[in-house]
Amino acid sequence: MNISEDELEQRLRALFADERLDLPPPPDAGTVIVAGARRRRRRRHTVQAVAAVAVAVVAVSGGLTMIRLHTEDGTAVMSADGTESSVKPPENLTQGRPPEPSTPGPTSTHDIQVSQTPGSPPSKTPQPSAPSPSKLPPVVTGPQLDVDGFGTLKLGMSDAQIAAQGVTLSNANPVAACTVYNASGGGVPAPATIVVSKSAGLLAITPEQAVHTAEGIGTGATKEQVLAAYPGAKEQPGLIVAPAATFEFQFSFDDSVVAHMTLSVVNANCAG
Amino acid sequence: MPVEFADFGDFVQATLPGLLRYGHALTGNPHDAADLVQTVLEKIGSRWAYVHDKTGDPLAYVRRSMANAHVSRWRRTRRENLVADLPDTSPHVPDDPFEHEPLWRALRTLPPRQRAVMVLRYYEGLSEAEIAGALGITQGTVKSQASKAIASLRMKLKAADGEGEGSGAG
Repeated sequence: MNISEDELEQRLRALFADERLDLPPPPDAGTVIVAGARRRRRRRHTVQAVAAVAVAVVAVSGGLTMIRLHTEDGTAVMSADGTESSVKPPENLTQGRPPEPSTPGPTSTHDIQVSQTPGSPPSKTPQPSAPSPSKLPPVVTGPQLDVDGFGTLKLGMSDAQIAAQGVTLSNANPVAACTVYNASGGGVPAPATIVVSKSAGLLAITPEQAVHTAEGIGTGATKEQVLAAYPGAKEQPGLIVAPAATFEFQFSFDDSVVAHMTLSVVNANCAG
Repeated sequence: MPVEFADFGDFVQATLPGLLRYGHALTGNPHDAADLVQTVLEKIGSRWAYVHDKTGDPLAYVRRSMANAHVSRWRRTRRENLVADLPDTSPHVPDDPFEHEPLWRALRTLPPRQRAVMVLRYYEGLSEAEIAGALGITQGTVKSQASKAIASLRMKLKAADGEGEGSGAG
């Protein structure tokens, strides 16, 4: 029997109005989704910040045209209050189904073996350009990102020296003659994404949670606060770079406030 | 930002049941519906301030995003969906309440864009122009996709009726 177009349209409307289409939300679904949204945002900022470093160092090196940065879907998950992070796979609303990876990038994790004694840390770096007195209040969030490193992580360290500090390096991704790692463990105040050059050691550190600088610029600071604290800072799209003699702070913005910070060596080179 | 995510959390709590239902209509099964809703909401939540401020209607934006994500996802997994053309060999989905509904089964055989057009038209009640805007295609394409979908559904239902009468299964 042929069904008329009108009857078919009526049946479609009736089907789409059927109450059996209702699906009860799983318990804690809202919490899972909000955590997933936080994770996606943090990962996006981290990759953008590290990619900016990688692009910069490769641009300096010259002759290198391809950069590949892979990220694993869902590694660092912020706790509900945003003050702690843990490492776990992404959760999924569908029970009994494994989470669907969004990218086919490498997912293996390995630790760097401690095979060398740590060398001497890099030479002392000068303090950043002296901040001018500011009427703007400081923003002190999370642990401090220093001018020479983050916790026991110090600019210039080799990956072996980093591992010797009790820092676990995972998700190694090569970028020219550098390697991008996730750094975690007792040696760092918070998990971070780092770039390590084979020849020059640790080039850049991007903490994965709220941090602040000694100048009172932390996650959540406004552009005005950053520029007041670092008069020599330069604005770039979505970024403010505060350079000093041998290092620089990069502040990436989201919703008009600092979302992430990167400490980077100036004039780094990934050419090997 | 905690305030922003709190606001997003409230949005999720308020809209999740309706979005799961909509996802069910779009994808044709509960599992894919949950995956689709979670994926789209997480992406939108990570840019919530922008979506909330710039789109004017976040819920409509989410629903359009789901339709587009479903079409994109289907392209990646089309081999699985093509199995639905062979009812005898299709995988059993135990918790699909419409498993034996001929129109539901016929909808499953539609290409994703055609199915999305059907859902936007008869679930959401959108006009051709609104569907075109939501899916990023021309009104002419909407019209042709809808026409093909209707013709295909009528043919499938006719075949299903014939099988039912022939087997006496009603």
